[in-house]
Amino acid sequence: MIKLEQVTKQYDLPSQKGGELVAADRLDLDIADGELFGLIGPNGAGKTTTLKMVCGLSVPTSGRITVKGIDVQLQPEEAQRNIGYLADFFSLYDDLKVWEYLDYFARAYKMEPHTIEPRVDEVLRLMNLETKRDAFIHGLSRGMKQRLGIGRAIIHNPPLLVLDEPAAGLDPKARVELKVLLKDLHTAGKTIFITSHILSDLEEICTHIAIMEKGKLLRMGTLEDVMREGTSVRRYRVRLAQPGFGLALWLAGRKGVTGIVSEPASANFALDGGDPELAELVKDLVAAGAPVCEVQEVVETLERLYSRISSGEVM
Amino acid sequence: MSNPEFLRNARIQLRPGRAIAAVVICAAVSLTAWYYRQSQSTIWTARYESIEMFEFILRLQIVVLLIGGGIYELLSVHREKELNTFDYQRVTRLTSFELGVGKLFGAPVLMSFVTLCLMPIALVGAFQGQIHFKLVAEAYLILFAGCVAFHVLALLISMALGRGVSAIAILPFLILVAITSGNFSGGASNWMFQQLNPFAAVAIIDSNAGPGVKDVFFGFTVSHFVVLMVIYFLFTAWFVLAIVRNLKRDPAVYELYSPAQAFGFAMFLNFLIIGFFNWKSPTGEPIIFKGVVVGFKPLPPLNMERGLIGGAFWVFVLLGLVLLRNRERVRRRIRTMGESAANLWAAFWPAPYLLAGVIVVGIAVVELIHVYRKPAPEEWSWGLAILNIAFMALWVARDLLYLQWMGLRRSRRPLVAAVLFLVVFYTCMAVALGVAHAVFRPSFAPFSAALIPAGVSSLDIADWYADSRLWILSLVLLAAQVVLFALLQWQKLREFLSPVPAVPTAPPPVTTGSFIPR
Repeated sequence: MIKLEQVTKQYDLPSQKGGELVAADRLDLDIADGELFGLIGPNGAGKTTTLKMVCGLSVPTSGRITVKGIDVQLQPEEAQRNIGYLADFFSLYDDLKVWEYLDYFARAYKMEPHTIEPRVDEVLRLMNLETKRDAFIHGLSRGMKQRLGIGRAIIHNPPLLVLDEPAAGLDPKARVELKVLLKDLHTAGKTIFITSHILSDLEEICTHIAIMEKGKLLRMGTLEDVMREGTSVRRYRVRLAQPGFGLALWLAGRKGVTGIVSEPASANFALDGGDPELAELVKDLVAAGAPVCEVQEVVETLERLYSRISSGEVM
Repeated sequence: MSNPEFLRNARIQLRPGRAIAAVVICAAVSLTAWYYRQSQSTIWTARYESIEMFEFILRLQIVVLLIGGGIYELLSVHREKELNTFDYQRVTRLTSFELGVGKLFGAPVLMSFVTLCLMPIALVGAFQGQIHFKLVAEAYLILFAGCVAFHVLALLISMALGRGVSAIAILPFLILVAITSGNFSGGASNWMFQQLNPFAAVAIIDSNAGPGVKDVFFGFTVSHFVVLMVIYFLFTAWFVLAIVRNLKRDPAVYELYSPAQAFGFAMFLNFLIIGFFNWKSPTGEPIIFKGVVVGFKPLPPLNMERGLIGGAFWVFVLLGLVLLRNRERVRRRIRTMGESAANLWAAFWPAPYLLAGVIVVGIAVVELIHVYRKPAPEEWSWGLAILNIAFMALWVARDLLYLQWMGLRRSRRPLVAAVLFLVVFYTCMAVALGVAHAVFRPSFAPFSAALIPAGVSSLDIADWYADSRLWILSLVLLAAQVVLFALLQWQKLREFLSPVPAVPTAPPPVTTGSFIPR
């Protein structure tokens, strides 16, 4: 559905700061039909720039982007018929009524005139905004405005949705509704390319993720692949009854142990191998005199993984 | 009417409450005008008063549509950018042309509605004033076609504006309207052209009983109405072209015209300037008879040449500004074309177009002076005529090469700073050379001319023959400045070839606990 080939975007920084800002650095990305692809990264990582380039709103300094095989730079309008875009800010026409807003974009996407009214009603129903049909946009709550924004993005029934921080600024209830809505849209066959700061939300809904920082993609793949960190490595936490034993140093000298994060009476580490290797390690640890009172497999969350990857702990 | 952007604007601006308010206000104005006309007119002045009323309403319609509508246009794209709604329009399937046309007629739709609401009373005035139907039709065609031309320009400005500067753009627009309201033609004018902006519609009505308003184009007398229609159409086409090329583009890579189009537009402007020039312009030395000024001699041919090439100078400065490449465009060119986009020839950008343009216009001016004025040998020198053209071409090339070089610096608004420096340079040089009397003193004038144009403007044939070597040396000095700025630009272009290390865009995330590497 989306293909990025060696896409680079450079900006100038003001002279007093010097240098150039590389918002996207030779990105290669392939998002297949039907994926719910999450792009995560800190502020300024280049996520919004990447999304804007996919939508044809920003021109890459070099590289090529295609959406459904259509070159976004060469045939922007053809590519854009396949894209529904939601930016990371609320920006609606406050003086329009809800139905007029959707009607405007339906016409702007050149839908057949006889299909516009039923489609507007259908989207209003889908977004749970039927009761607000004739209300002015300036009177809507933030959550309703966000739903209307998503309604605008899907009004022309595009196969691809590009959503930039759709959950930003929403209260917990609205966030839950948004997740349900995105799951429904994905189930209905849409490919969704989404960014969010709320990693737990992405973890729940995404099929694939990519981690981006300083314009580079650090990790990319299915959620399971990324979470598994590649091969058979699993993470464990060992807790001692009392501090004093040099747990981190002992682990550091052990074969197959990587990514050690130590605290006074505990350590968190990755072990290459399965249960037998773990049993061997625990046996040796106890034999070395460590007062082991708890051994636990650490179930990785996207948030923790992201934190470790972006700090250079895992590459 | 089915254009979505037009429809959106109409829905917002013509909601029943607002439309009714507009109708009520227009009705009040109409009744007031009608009452005034009735109270002032007698059986002998009734027709005159009706014409007066029609002209008053017509002026009001022009103000509303031209200025009111123009301000709406100036805000249209710019405001969308400020509100972050413009990106959503850019990702729709509307083409730039459709979006542009929707904004062009949609943004001032309330002003258009007000203008239409004033039509009934205007037509009553025209009917009672027995104004010929053809004149009324011409006046309204001028009003609407002229407003479209000015509105397209306002839309183009709105598109090109950066954030937070729309209020500044309104002032130049109003100044442009004021300047074009003046009658360029007149007793002692260099031009044979009447008003350019839609206020010309009132002048058309004023000519009700006369021979009509005329212009002279390359010696041919033509109806001002026809001239305006053609000019409005052509300007509209040029501005629409720039909008269509850029409206849906990434603003970082806006390019108003391709180099060939920009060159064509500059030549078109020069064609108009030269075409409407009064070749027998009576703006030379005064003719004094018995101590009284009874008229003026025609402008000397060499002064005529300088005046016209001076006009071309500003047109080519505009061309140069359009052709300037910003850092993003240079970077993209180098990425796609490689080293050839940063070679020495590329460093002369945009000088070739400017030099070619000034030389072509200069030759045309000189030829036309010979056709229309047939100058006597004592008032003409081919060498001096060519020197004038060469100086003008090199000045414009030097200044634009300087701006191009400065524009490639890494700063927030490099071009604005560069223009300010240029203004400071010209001001300081003019003052310093003026105080030192260097501009008009024959021995110093050539050296001043290597810096600012004032020195050449006072050069007469005798001085030219006396000091021609010095003047040629001055020309060489000016050419050296052109080469200097090209070399400086070349140096800047080479910097783009070497990769610059990326600057971190965000601080790295922090993890808790200590990390022990293996």
